[in-house]
Amino acid sequence: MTLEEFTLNLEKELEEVEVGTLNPDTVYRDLKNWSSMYALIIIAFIDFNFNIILNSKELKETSTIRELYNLVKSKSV
Amino acid sequence: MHNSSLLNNIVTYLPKKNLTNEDLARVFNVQPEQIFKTVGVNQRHISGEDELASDMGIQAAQRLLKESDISKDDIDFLIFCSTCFDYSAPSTSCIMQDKIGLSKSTACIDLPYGCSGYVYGLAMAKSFISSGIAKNILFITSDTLTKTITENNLELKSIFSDAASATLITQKNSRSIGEFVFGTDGGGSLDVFVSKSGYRPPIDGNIDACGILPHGKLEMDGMKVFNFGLKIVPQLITDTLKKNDLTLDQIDLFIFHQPSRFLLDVLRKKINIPESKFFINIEQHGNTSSTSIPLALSDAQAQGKLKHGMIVLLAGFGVGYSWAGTIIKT
Repeated sequence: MTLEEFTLNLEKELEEVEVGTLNPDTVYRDLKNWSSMYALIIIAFIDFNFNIILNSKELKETSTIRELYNLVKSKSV
Repeated sequence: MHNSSLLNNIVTYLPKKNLTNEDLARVFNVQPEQIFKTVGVNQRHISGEDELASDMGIQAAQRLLKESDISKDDIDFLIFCSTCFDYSAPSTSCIMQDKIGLSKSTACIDLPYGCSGYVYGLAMAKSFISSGIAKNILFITSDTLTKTITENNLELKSIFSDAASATLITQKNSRSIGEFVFGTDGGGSLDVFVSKSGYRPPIDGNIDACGILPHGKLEMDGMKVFNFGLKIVPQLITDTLKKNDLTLDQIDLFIFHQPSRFLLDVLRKKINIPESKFFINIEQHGNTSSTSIPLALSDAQAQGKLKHGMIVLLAGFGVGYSWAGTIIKT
């Protein structure tokens, strides 16, 4: 999955986020309506697609979609 | 009521008072729809101020015994699964033996487990019967965790609920219970727990009681518990199928503990269970801890989704961390 595909697919999972809102440099915690539920959606999305379960500490170390993607890629190796 | 099927020997009890999303929304100044979207619960059951878990369990047991063709004197073992006991001593099951009017030759034991407790209780009952220790076991589950939630905690108030169940396990119907898989990770014991409820001093050093919560205070790290479920449950299902020499396709209905709608949906997709074979009733009841599985069995039967001759996989997982799985043939 490329960074662009990752961004698009994640956007689909976040139901309340309008299409075209996310780009790789979006600070996802700044999204309108951000809540702990979004964090669980992100964790579930990454687990389903990469079989990697991120903990809260790892998630907190990322702020943009790109950083999230890079973290997943680094753990996939 | 006849004893050949375990399914025909389960009775549930729900307290009269319900807490709806509208009730919560008024107090917390949020939209009811948002509460539903987050936890997937429409209403929870709230035990009365003076209604204990043992009281609710006794209600379920009395109705079960009334409907059963087994008399009180035939019960030779009582298992009470709960995390909300009357006292630390004596065992609440002893108190219940007297109140239900069971014979004085009844063996009584408390099983202090939550989400995995129903499967644990079935395992104990099956082994007591197969080893000849007991013939007819009354297995009660009941929890009143809403009494341990602080008034300002919307997250926990949205999820947890009170309920009880009673199951009669006999020599005949115990044969429909399959093989068991268990697991424990006490490293996560403080991810969801009732603080100030036992002898261990609180982490913050504050030894005062929890204000209005004399029974202790329920605390949960939602993300850690979610991650635990994601990590453990798929393997639990694989192991339970393997232990029972079954494949995923051979299971007619999957009944999991009901922790949150979102986690259940994610697990179903991850394990690749068809929606039609995955029972969810958290919407109507919330998370009822040890009673979630018998309540789901009972509801699934009432809705016609669970019929005789089916193979059902039961999976309990949560506080402990503790998890357990088995198969029942209905």
